[in-house]
Amino acid sequence: MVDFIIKRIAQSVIVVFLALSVIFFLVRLSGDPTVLMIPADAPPEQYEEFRKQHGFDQPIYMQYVNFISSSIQGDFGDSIRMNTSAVSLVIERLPATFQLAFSALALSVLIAIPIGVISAYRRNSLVDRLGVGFTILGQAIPNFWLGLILIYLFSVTYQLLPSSGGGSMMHMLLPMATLAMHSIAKFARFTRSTMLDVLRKDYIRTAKASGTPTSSILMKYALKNAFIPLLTLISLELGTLLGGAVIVEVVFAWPGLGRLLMDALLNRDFPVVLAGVFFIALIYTIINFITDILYAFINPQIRLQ
Amino acid sequence: MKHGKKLLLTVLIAFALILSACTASTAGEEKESDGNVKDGLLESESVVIGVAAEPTTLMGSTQPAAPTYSIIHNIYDNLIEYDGKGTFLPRLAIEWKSIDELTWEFKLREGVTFHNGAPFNAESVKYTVEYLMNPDNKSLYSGRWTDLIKEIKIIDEHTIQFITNKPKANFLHLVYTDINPLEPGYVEKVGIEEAASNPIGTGPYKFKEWKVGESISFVANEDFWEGEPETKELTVKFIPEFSSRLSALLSGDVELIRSVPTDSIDRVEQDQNTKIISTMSGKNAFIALNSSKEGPLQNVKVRQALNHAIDVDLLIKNVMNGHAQKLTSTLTPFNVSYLAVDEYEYDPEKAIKLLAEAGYKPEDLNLTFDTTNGYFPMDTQVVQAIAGELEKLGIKINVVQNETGVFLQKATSKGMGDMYFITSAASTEGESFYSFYFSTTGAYTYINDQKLLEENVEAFKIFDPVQRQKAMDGIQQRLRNEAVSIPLWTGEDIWGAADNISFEPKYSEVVDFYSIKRSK
Repeated sequence: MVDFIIKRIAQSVIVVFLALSVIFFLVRLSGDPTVLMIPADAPPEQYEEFRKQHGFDQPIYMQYVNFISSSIQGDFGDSIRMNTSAVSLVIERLPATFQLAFSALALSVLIAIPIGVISAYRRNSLVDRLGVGFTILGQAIPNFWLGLILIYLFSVTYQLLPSSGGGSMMHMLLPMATLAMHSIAKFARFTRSTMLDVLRKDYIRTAKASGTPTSSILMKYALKNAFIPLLTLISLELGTLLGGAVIVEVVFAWPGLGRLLMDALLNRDFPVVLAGVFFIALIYTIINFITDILYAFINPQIRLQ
Repeated sequence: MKHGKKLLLTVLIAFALILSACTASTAGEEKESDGNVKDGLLESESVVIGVAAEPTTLMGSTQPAAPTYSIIHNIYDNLIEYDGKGTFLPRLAIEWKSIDELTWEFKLREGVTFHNGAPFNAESVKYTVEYLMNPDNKSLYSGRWTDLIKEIKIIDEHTIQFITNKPKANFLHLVYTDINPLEPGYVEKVGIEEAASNPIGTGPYKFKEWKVGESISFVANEDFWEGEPETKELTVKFIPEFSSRLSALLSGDVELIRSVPTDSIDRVEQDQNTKIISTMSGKNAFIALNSSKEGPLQNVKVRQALNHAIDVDLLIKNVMNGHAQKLTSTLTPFNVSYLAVDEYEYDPEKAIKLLAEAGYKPEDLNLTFDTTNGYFPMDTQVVQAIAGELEKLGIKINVVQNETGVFLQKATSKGMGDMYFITSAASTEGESFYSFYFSTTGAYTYINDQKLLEENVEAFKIFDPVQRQKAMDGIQQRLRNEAVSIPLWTGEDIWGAADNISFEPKYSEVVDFYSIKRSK
């Protein structure tokens, strides 16, 4: 088990390092941020001074070496735009993003699993068809459009919920629902198909034959077995929700990491982009790591391998 | 299986704990401060504004970009203000004069205090200019001051002199935009980083709280020299997406929103609780013609032909929905150096004739046309419409849509195609505009006629106002005759507002919080 954990930690470090390296070169492909930051009427010396201050005057491999050596110490430099530490800007935004991602995930699990279970159990019934229809719709609707429609309905027409901004629980409902829509669809479909597999198994037939109540069959025997592959999907989805809430955060003006990253990208604020990617990659690998360990607990076969 | 059950339970509990930890801390904090906003205040005394972009700092005299400057100006105030009609108005300075070509003297308003009670005086003005010139402070204004200022002299508590290295006729325009007086004692005590996130100024509104990514709130400065503002609390919310901003206005979450696109004006006007407030802005929309590149545009007749080929009135009517005013000169009427020159009236036949005189058939022209995509108001729509008009004549137009950063990089590195669409921010004096677009050193200059550019630069050196205006008139006439660009229009600064809100937008597009009021 210890070997397994050590191996996974080493893998995680490599993944984060590679992600940062790729992003480092990718953002530099977008061009020089100097023209976006310095007014066009500034004398050429000011441009030069700016480049020197931020190290853009050095060859790219030197910039990379400097970046790696300082980022290992947790220093991603100052935001070019805000003149404050990039890491602190990112950390400031993390709670809002966590809040949105975790609650959207919880909401999707709570809604999707019952839909999936019922659909599987009552296969080809009206309930199943409605469930499947709903999940297809959920995966097909773009976040951006759904967000605007929800704002139009709940904020503009009925004035029940605030249209944008962060803070209270009320502010979170619409972005949470928008963000959860896609995950609900994904989880429900997945739960349905794995449940269908499990329900065909011999032990379920045996349980049925022995007169075990339906609820007990579904919850105790079937869902528990279907839950193992679902766990991987949920943990991967959390990573997607953390990093991919950009559009929802922009539509709802939610003060999270996605919006910070988008602003930073558009303004070529490299340190903030890299610090943001670092945290997302880190969280993603940590979640994967935890999932793997949970897996090993749940399924001793993995541990033994 | 028992083992699995426990595990599942543990995972769920852990999950719930993380979730509740996240929600409790953030939501709890926000709720408390939300509650405070309304403490002891009638709802009518507080107004919420929705804007697209967030400031990058709250330090004065540091960042000229519009999202920052619009906020800064209300916290710090300015020494003087330009009214867009040729006159400077007193603010923190009550009188000013040029003693000689190199010396400017300002008399400052007495009895003004900073938000922390410290007196505003010559020392704070000197400190501010020294702050912005110091390269360590990374003020984006530094470039134009460091070479200019020789000495700053405090004559007495409320009199200050600037001694310059060279005559600078448009010095007042720099003073107007660049100096937002800082409180020296405060900045020295807390340091720049703290002063930038917890600003102290002399302006009509005191900073209260900055919820990063979300909003900044302000309270009225009861000691403001012009009198206490009517609106006691003011919150600026950052809502990047226009549709969301519009929804926030229609649902009553905010009461004033910035930058309504011309194609959404009807939507705001149709709602019975909202209205449009707008003013003509000093923004200058035009098409720059690149004659620095080998090709047909080096021929003045071709450039004139392009001017005749575009129906600006039609574009204003159809693309800008009538919310723009046609321009004929390279400058706008809000610029003190403006001269109304003759327009190139819309005449496609004349355009074809001029092309023929230059030795071209319309089909011979194959021009690239650079534009941003969503950065300048209605940019791609305008460019597509213009390309359509030119293509009707048979001219081939290749529209290149650029991401903003790429566009700016291309522009400043002389990488533009044959023509580009740009909307310049309001400039108040000829030099500040021409030094950009039509001078020997201009970052956005794409003219091959060096003599013309040198004559422009000569005009910048003239100090006598009458002679200078004569020279500026000459520049405008020459640039018109040479058809260096296709002037289009000055657009409007368009706001959506709740019906009971009154507000005076300005030609400069700087937001004046003081003028935001709610009818009782």
